[in-house]
Amino acid sequence: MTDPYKVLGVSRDATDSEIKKAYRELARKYHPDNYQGSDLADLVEEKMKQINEAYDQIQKERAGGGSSSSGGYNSGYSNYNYSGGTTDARFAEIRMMINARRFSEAEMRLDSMSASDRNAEWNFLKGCVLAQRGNFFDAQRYIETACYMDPGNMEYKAMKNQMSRNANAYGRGYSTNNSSDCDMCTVCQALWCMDCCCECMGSDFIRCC
Amino acid sequence: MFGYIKPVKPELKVRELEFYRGIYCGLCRSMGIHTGCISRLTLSYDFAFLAAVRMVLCDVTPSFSLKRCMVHPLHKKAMCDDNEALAYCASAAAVLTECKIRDDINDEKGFGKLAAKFAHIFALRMRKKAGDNAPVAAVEDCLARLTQLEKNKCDSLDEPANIFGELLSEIVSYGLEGAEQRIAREIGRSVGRYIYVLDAADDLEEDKESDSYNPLRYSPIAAENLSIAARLELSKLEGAVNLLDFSGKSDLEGIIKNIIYLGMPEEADRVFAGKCKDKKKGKKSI
Repeated sequence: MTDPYKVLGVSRDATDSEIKKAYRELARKYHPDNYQGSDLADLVEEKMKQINEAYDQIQKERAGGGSSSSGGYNSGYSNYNYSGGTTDARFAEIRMMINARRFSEAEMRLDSMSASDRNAEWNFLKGCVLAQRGNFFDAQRYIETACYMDPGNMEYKAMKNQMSRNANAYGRGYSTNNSSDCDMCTVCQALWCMDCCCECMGSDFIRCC
Repeated sequence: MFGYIKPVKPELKVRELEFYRGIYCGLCRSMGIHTGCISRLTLSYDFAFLAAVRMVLCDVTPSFSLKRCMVHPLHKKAMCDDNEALAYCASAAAVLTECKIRDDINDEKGFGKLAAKFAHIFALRMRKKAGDNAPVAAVEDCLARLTQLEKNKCDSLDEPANIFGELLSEIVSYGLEGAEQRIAREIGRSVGRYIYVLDAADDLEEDKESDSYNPLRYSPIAAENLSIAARLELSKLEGAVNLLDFSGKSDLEGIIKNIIYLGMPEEADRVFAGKCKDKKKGKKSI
């Protein structure tokens, strides 16, 4: 059995709140949402399981052997669901394939459809398949075509927005330690607050205001 | 290679910077040992990054010693001693260079062809010294497919970018197994796509002038979208790097995270803002 403290990266004499903080940090880092559509999803699930177990074990140890379970972050995938909003049976089938992550099959089916059938939904689904396989530019082209062909469709628009949002998830957990937020503005604000508080109490901190 | 993957040095801790320089110098030295003196000219930041990643993947603990070298004859520098990861990176670089030059012989015409043939004499020597310690077949296959796409004037940026990603994923993951191999493949894939997108954007003007292949010439993509795509690749890279086991390697962790969180986005911003890079540096071959 691996040392649960090591898994969480804390020392044995860390306080409860330190452990909780470390756990939250890790849970955020390895959240399944960060690995959507990644080949490494199962490795992350494994890692998250280890972290949850380690956290539970420490909780138990510290509660004096009691059996309190902490109820860790559950690692359910909040994956995009492609099953909504279709009227065409062929597309419904393709959507099912995409949901089941059978991307090449779905793509083959899409490619075999004739040019006259290639409507907005066709473009949308083709874009989704490409996006799932990491082809960002081609995917964008198809989804934009879909939005253009059917400007009122919220599903297509939502997908278009989500694609650019996925990129923003990156880099949230890294700090360079030098970006202190204490600029002049904060200092002035603090002084002003202090002054106000003092005045409330009947005294004064800065005479002139 | 390209020199797009380097750390932001002022943000490194002093010992991390020493460590990084040690890897860089050590790689140069290992190239001298394993693939011959000439190959040291192909040294690049990208392969220093690869070396750092391979050290984590193969669980190599690097050791350092003070040495002199030709470039710095006056001061002794801390250099990483030759190890498994550095030796591999040296051979991978040699194989990649040789395959690329062989490719150029077939593609170029006139003077370019002659120059490539001349360079190939040296490259072949490097490659022979490197032996078979690299995914030769896979590299050849990927380069051949890239050439084919160039000939067909492929207008999708994704297709060649994916092939380049595959090429790098083969290089990063060579000789590994299980979880490490999968993480390495993901790292290679995202880094490869990232490099290809940046390089296409960076060279667009140059390629227009010289009438060379560049997918962006056939289907222009707004800088904003290129930038989003680059960040998407970085977020995949982040996911894969977070799965690496850095225990006992805090310096390597600092360096690698500095590169992916600061160095790579900075480089992407520079390219997509349309600023020219220092032409003398970086692009020796491939």
